[in-house]
Amino acid sequence: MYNILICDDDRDIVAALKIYLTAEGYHTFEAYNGNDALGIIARETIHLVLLDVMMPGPDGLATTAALREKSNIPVILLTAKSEDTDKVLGLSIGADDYITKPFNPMEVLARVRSQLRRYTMLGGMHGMEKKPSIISIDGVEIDDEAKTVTVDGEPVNLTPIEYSILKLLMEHAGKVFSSARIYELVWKDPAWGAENTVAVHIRHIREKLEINPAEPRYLKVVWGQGYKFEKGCKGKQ
Amino acid sequence: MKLTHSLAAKIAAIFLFILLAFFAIFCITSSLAMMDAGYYWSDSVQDPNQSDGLEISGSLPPFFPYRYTLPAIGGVSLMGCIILYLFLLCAAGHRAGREEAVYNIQDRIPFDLYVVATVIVMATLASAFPAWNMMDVRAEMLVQGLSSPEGAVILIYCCCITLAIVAFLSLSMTAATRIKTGTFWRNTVVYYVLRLCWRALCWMGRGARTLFRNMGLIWKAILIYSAYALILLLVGRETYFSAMATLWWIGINMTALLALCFFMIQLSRLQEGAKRLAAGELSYHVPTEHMFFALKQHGENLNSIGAGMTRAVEERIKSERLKTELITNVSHDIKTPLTSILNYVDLLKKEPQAGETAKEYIAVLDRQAHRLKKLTEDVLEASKAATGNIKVELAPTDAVELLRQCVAEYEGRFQQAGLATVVQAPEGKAAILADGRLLWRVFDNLLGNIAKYAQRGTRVYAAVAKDASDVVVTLKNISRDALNISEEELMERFVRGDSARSTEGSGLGLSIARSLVELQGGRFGIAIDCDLFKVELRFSAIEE
Repeated sequence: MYNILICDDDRDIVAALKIYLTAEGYHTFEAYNGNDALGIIARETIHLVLLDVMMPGPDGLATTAALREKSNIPVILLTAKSEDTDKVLGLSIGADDYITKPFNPMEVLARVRSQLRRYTMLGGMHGMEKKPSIISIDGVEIDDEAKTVTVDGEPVNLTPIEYSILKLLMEHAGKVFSSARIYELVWKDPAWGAENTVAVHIRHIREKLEINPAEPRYLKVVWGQGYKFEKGCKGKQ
Repeated sequence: MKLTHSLAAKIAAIFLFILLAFFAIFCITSSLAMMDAGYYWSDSVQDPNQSDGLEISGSLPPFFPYRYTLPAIGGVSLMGCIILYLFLLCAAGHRAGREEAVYNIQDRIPFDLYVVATVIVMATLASAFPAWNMMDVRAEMLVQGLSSPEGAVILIYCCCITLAIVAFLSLSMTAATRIKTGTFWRNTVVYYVLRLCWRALCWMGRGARTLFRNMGLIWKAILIYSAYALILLLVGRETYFSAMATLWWIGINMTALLALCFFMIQLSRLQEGAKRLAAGELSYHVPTEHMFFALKQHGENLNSIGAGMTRAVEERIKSERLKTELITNVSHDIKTPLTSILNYVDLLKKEPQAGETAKEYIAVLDRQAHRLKKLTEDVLEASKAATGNIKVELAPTDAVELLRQCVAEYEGRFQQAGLATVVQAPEGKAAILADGRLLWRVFDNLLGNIAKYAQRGTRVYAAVAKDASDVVVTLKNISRDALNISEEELMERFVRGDSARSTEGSGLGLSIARSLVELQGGRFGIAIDCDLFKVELRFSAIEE
C-alpha cells in the first residue's frame, strides 16, 4: 500500500485523480496548495507526489525545490504548459517526470506505477552485484545471457530483431544510428532500400518500452538523423 | 517556280545581256561612224551597186549596204538589254526555295568599297582605250574590215564598253539585293567606322558617368565649380582683368568654393542619414550639432522620423506579442477545465449503471472533449508558428531518413485506414538544413491529414527528389471526398477540404505546416488535380 499525495489547486482534478488512484489500490492524500503539500509530506509517509505547476502561493517548481531539500521521493509534475523549456526546467529542479494537461488518466497511472517501482524496488537493488552481461540504463535493463528486457523491473517481450536493435542502441547509448547503419549492423547485410523496415521495428520497440510512445523517454527519434538510446534522460539517477 | 528564282534563267540572262550589249554598242558605234562620214545623206555617197553617179572619196566599208538596218538592230538590242537589266534587278538576291532575298558572296563586300572598285574598273578601261569618245571612231577604220588592225581597235573598244556596262550591271544587282534585304546602309565601311566611333563615344560617356556617380558629393561640387570658374576665366580674361582684380577674383572664388564644400559635407550627412533610415536602421542619429538653418532643421526632422518609426515598430511588435501571449494564456487556461471534463467523462464511461442512451451521450461528450483538446493544441501551435515564436535550431538533416522515420510512425494508422505507402527515395542522402523536430511536426500534420482524408484502398506516395539546387519532398494521395476548393482556400486557417462532413480536425494542419516550413527557410506548396492531393516541400540542398 503506497501513499500518494495529489496537489492541485483545481479540486475537481484532485478528486478525479483520487478516484483513479484509489481504484488502483493506492492510498491518497490531497492538498490544494504548495504549503499544504509540504506540511502533509512532513507529517505522513508519502511515497509519491503528483504536483501541479501553476498554483497560487508557492508554485509546483518552488514546492519541488523545497521538497528536495529534505526528501528524494518521486515527484511527477502536472502542468498545462507543454513547452520543452518548461519540461527541462521542471526536471532539472528535481522532478522525476512530467505530464502535460489535459492528460490521459491511464498514462498518469502508468507513470505512477513506473516511478513507484523505481523508487521502491530498484532503489533497494543498488547494492546488488550486477552480472557483466547486464546493461542497465535509467531503469531499462537487458540481460544478454537470458535475452530478457525489463523496464523498471517489468518484463517486456521483444522479438529477436527488436532485441538486437535495442541491444545495439543501449551498448552505444547516446550515439545516433541512421536506419541504414542499424540495418547493416543488425541484419549484417548491406542496406539496399531495406531501411524502411528498421523504422517500423523501432516504432514497435517504442510501443512496448515506452509509456507514451508519442513522447519517448528512452528510445528517441533524432529526426532526419536516426535513432538513439537516451542516456541520463531523467532528472536524477 | 518563279523565273526570278531560277539560277539557270539568271545565268542565261546575263550571257544574253552581254551579247546584246556588245551588239548594241557595235551597231550604234558603226552607225554613228558612218553618219559622221556622211554616208546617209551626202549626195556624193551612193550605193555602189546602184552606181547612179556616185562620187566616193575612198572605198566603202563592208557594212555600207546595211547602213539602214544597223541602227535598227542596235536599237532592238538596246531595248533587249534594258529589259534584261530590269529582269536581273528583279532577280537579284533571289534563290530557289527562298521567299526572301539573301546575300551572295559579292553582297558581303561593303557597298562603298564596291562602288569605288567599280569606278576604278571603269577608269582603268577608259585609260586602256584612249579614244573613249565615240566620235573618235572614224568611218575610215571600218573601211579596212574588222580583221584589219583598225577594225580590231573598234572591236576592242566595243568590248571595253561592254565590260564597263557589265561592271555597272553587277553594281546595280548588288545594290538591288541590298535594298531588298533592307540592310543597304549596314554593310558599308562608312557605317562600320561611324558605329565604332559611336560605341567608343558611348563607352566613354558611360565611364564618365560612372566616375561622376561614384564621386563623393564634395568632389562633384569642386569639379563643377572649377569648370564654371574656368569658363568665366576664359571668357572674361581679355576684357577686364588686371593683376589686382585677378587676385580678388581668385580670393572670392576660393571662399565660395569653401562655403560650397561645407554645405556639401552637411548635405552628404543628411543624405547618409536618410539612406540609413530607408534601409531600416531606425536608431541612426543624424549629427546636427554643426549644421545651420534649414539643413539643421531637416536633420532634426529626419531624426524625429526615425524616432517615430521606431516607436511604431515597437508598438506593433508589442501588440503582436500581446496577441500571442493572449492566445497562449487562454489555451493554458482552457486546458485545466478540459482536464476535468476529460477525466470525468472517462469516469462516466466506466459507470456500470448507465443506460444505453446515457452511454451514447457520453460517447458524444468524449468525442467533442477530445476535439476541443486537439483544437486548443492546434490554435496554440498555429499562433506560435505564424508569429515565428518558435525556437528553430537548423542542422544538417537527411530528408530521406526523415521521410522514412515519419512514414514508419504512421505505418499503423495507414494500415487501419487501408492505405499502402510507397516511399521513393534516391540512393544515399539528401542533406538539407532544417530543424528535424519541427519538420516532424510538419509531417505529423500532413500524414495525419492523409490518414484522415485519403480514400480507402489507395496508395500514398512519399518521395524525395534532388532538383538542381533543391531537395523536394512530395506527398501524394487520393482524396476520399471531391476537393472542389482551391489550393489557396485550403491553406487558409480553419478551412477543411470536406466542408462539414467530418468533425475530426481543426482545419489548422496545413496552415501550421506551411508556417513551420517557412520558418525553416523552406517553401511549401500544395496542388490539387481532381482527387489527387499533392504537397510539395522545397529546401535548398546542402553539401555534407
